[in-house]
Amino acid sequence: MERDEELLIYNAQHGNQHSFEILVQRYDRKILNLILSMVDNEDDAQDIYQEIFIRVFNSLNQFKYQSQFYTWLFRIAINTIINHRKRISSIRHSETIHDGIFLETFSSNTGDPEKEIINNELDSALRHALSKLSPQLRAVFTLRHYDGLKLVQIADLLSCSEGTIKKYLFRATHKLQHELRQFYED
Amino acid sequence: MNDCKKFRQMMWLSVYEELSLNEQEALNNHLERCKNCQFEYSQVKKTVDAYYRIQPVQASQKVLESFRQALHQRLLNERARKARPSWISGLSEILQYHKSLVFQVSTSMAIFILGIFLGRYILSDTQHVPTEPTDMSFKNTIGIDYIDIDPTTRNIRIAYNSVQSETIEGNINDLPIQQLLMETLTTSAHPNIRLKSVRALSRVTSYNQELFNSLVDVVNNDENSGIRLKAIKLINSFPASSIDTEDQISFYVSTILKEQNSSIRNEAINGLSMISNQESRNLLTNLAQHDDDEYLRYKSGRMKFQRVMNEEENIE
Repeated sequence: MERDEELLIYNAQHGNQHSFEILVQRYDRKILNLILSMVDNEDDAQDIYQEIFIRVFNSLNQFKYQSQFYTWLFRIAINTIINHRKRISSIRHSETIHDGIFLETFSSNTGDPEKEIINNELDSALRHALSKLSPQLRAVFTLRHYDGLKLVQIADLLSCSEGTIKKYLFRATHKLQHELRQFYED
Repeated sequence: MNDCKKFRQMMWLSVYEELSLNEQEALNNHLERCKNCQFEYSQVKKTVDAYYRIQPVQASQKVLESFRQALHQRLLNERARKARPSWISGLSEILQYHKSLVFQVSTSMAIFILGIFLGRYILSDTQHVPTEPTDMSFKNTIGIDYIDIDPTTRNIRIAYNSVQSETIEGNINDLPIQQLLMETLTTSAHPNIRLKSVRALSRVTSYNQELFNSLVDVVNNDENSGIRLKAIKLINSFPASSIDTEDQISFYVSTILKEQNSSIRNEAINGLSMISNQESRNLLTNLAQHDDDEYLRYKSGRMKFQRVMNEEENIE
């Protein structure tokens, strides 16, 4: 852990809100992108974003420098997202897919208009398929696919065994394959 | 086939490079022998390739800034909340996170209070402001709660139960008030209330036959000697002209003969002695000779003697 980060954490633990907000700004883009890959609604995203950092603010004194701050923050974030999604999914199914104004999505620019259209359709279909996954399956797929975490790291974050995470990943990808077969079957 | 099922899961892990060297080698060996799994593996690779063609979503800078601004404000509130006593912050947290519960509870309470209000003030005949003692009917009177009389002004307030609790306020000389008190004398089960009724009636300045009859009824029938005594004292305070003399003599004689309590008989003798006619004198002579109580015999004889002396003085 870098020395200045330690200082920021120390000051934040002793009530310095400005130090806390600097810490937030170091990592909140990654956290927000993680949220956006897990939820499909702007209001939910804002609620979760605030809930995560308020939790971090309130439990900062429990951080004992035994792990990287980002790892600790990331664990709070992913659990908050999963819990929030469980809560929300019991009330309603995900209604919307992210709109273009809210997000900057960077579909790969192939220069081929036909492929562009297919990619956009695939993008939309994948997000729709992802929205149908349970919070745990979606979390495992997202962390592995978009964040590039190894299964052992995901298991640590979600406090599960590696075997459980393997099953989750297999189930998630199998379901997605079923939903998206029209795009990859020749 | 069982092998194929096992290797199908391994295919995904292989694509994500999550297999150990031994596992990868076993999968490769299986794929060399199994055409179905070779096809399945190619499909898995295409699927994952398709996933990788999609770039991860990223928040715009504008959205991120607005989120930060909202968080800044929330942190200020959070610091203020922490500075408050714990029970206040606990309550505000409940209010914040259980809005529906708070809404339900407050709505229930509001309906409950509204129900009480409607029942008590709108739909009920109950008068919380004491009523005037006019046009009253006490046929449904169940009992008296309290009697409060001002001895100087003779104003009186009586709380009684009818179908519901009622309060009446007026002057002791108001006939409806007297009627209620007289009703109470014969119907109330509480000696204290009956005694208070007699005391209240002792403040009456306008006597009538109806009041006399009620008090006679009390003296003849009330089980409490203290109330009977108070009632006969009240009768004795009536001006002689206000009540029929025959009724008075009859009452006093009956009381002297039947009453067990000597204090009450004493009052009856007092009352009888105040009636100045031949009949009362004869009665006093007889009673003086027959009463069990020595003092009463003495008193009766003394009264008779005094009266005879007075009459002789008048003749001279």
